[in-house]
Amino acid sequence: MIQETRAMLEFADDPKQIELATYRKNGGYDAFEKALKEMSPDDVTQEVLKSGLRGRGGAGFPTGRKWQFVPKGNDKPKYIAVNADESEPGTCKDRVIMEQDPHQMLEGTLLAAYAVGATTAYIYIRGEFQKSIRIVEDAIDEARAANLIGKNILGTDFSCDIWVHPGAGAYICGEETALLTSLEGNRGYPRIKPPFPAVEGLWRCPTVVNNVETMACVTQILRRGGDWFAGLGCEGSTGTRLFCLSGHLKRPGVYELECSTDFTLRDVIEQIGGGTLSGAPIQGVMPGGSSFPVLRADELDCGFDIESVAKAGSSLGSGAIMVFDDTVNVRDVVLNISEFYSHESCGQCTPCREGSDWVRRMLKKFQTDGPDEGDIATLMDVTDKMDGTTICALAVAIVWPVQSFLKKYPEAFAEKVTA
Amino acid sequence: MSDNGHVTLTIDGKEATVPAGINVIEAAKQVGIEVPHYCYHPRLSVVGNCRVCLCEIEGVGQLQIGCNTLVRDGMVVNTTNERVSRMREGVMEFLLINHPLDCTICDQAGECKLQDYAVDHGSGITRFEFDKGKKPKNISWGDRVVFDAERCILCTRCVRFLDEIAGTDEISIDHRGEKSQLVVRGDGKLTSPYQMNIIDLCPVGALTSRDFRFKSRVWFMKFTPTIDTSDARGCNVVAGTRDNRMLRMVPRYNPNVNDYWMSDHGRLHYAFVNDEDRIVMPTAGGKPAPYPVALSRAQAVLEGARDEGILCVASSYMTNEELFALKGVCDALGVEDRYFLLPMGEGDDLLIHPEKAPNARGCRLAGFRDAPDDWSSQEFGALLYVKPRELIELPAEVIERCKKKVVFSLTKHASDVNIPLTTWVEKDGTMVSAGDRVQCVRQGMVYEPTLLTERVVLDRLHTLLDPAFKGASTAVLAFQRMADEHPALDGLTWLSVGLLGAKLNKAEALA
Repeated sequence: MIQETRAMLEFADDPKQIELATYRKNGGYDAFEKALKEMSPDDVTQEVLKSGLRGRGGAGFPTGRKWQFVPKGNDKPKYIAVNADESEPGTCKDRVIMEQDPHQMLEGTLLAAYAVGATTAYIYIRGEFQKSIRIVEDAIDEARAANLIGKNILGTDFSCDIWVHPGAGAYICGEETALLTSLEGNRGYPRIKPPFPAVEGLWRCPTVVNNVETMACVTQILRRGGDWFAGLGCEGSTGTRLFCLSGHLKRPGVYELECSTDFTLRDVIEQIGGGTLSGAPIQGVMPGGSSFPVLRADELDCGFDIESVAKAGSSLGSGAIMVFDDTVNVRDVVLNISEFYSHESCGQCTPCREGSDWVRRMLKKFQTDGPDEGDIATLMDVTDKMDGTTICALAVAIVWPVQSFLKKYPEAFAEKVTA
Repeated sequence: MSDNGHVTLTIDGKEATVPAGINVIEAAKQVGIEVPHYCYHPRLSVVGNCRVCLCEIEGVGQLQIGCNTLVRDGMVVNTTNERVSRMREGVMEFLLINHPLDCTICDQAGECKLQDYAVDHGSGITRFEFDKGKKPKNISWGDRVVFDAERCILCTRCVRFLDEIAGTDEISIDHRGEKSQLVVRGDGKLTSPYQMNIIDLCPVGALTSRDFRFKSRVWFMKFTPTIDTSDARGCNVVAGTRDNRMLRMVPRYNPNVNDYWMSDHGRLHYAFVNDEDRIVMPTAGGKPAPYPVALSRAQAVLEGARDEGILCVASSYMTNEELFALKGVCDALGVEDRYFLLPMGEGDDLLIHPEKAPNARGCRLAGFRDAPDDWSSQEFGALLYVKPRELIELPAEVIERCKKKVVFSLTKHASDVNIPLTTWVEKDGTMVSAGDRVQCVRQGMVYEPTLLTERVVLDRLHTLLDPAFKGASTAVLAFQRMADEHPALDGLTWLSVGLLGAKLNKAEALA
């Protein structure tokens, strides 16, 4: 049986864990204090590099390398932005950390700030997460009162302040450059890269943008060692990860698991998720949030790690495993996905602004009337022309699932619906 | 090879050596390849949202936008291959699915980048079978700019211009996705004195000029490169005329003067050209008189006033050639009191100049003195007066102290001899703008075929006064004669002044 490996969630069930005293009693901020007093900033980065940690926001970029992109000997201020704008459909893990163990995220944030030399950090929290905002703000106040945040932290030369910035309800602000634009007080539009945020981010200063879970992992890595983290999971997918199981499952929820090539995605769905609630066969799984390709029921026997799922044609993305059984019509599923992304398109780039709504309207027609001859080819061609032609990946987030549904469930899109 | 800050790259098989630090669009331009673009403008920040400048860079997986891709040594760019063409055709299709295609009633038709690129890069057919999105049309953004949301492609050039150049930051985008729409903050009316530049910047027909709207199809018009004469900046413009009436002015690029912009005041400063009340024939003693008759009368008036003194007041709207012709007349008559009138007003740090006339420097160059604030109570036998435009006038009591009057004016003016003026779009000539820059004005129209330009009239008057004098036959020759005589113009030719102007040699005393 696959078991949970609880590191980040070790104390999450204790309602007092959100309080600083409890967090400290459980070893909290010891790693930060040790880093401040005994380690150089570069040592911290080296420890994270050693751990093999990859960002947990969905793209999976190695965290230590991201930190190394921050230019040294640059007299501009440097910033940390923690991406807590958790809005990808199916993803609900960052909220667990913020609401049940917020100091773990703050400690990781302080460690990252120390590593790159940032003196200000912003936690950009999804506006709808009112409870998260309240708890994180309280945690910051407590930590500030204890001189864990602020000037000359714990009597050292290191100073760093942390602020919460609530979002205003736009999915696109979870895209890292849109998040920065929004933080600056502007309309949340993604920016063209280069320059990358690590070089020119917030107010054109070097900025590291990391996901909430990534920051929690940093805390664990500095607490227990990079080698410990690297020893968990498997190559390319080290450590533990929070997975959000949802859909037609017996036991949906957030689970902390190690990745492995020894068991499969199907094993996770059956053993952790308990299989489908109704007992009906699985029709499909979206293993990394709704923006990645769907896997059919016969494609689930891939290893449970980043590389294996990629080889199977999808991605573990943000760890949101969404399962649907054969009681749903995939035309409804794909229409629902396209409605979400066309509604959330910021409207900046032509292909996404115009294309996402066109795709939605075609899928609406497919759902109600079924496609006419040539419609499928048109939809494939239109989505092709949205793929890789825009500033950010939102267009791709509609292209990949739509194309995968059309390819993998041809029978569902084959003919006109007869009344 | 890279040297002296240059890099060498290959664009569509052509080798190009261009300055380092420029983007692919500019590099391609230098070797005669046009990479289509909507949102990119050389003077505005790069946002990369229209996506029509997608190019293939060898060794880079995804297509890259030319506006945000800086040239590198050895870079191989393809702007037209099958992959690029397919994606560009896709972008054009996306731009057009919700476009109203109302070209037949759109002012932009004929100079619309959506039309141009649809022909060059579009597929010619549509696969879009749904109802087009509806957005508001004919939205008033004040008394100068009209906005059509359906035609807008959301390139944000207007947003960036008002933010980055004009500094008023008045437009933003409301809603998102395909519902995105430009809005003007506050009461929805623009306030910038440079707001009409967004009409030129708009690559499509979303922003149109209330002044020019529905007046003419651009392909019926004649376009003449000249300058704006509303103030001393001398912004370079293209004057658009049709059937011998002036219809609009748009800025013309000159990096030394106005870049790509001009003020609204200058752009709209032309109504007097088309004024129905303009006089088209001289009068003598209040009666219409052909030029020879009027000029004989003027000769008699001026010669008869020699002993009592003549006051000559020039206008700072005159060209240098006209001013030198007037100077010749004054010399022939021995006039000592030579002045010019210069209206003053507010200026700013961008383009608006406090001197509200184009050629005060030319007046000084020709030896005219700034009009005094307090005119003396001296009486004159005659007044030779070239009346400026409406902004300034010679005080009535000064005119009254002159017994006889020879007046050049656009509209009727009480005088012994009244000679019609022509406006700057009706003649060739030069002016000296701020920064002591000699710039050309060019003839784009004729208000009435009966009219003679002031230079010709003054030269004829000069010949009447001094039969030995022979005027130049054209403004170009008049300029050359002037340049030969005046050290400040030494070495300049009509051609070296050209479309972009040239600095005066010695001009310290002219400002």
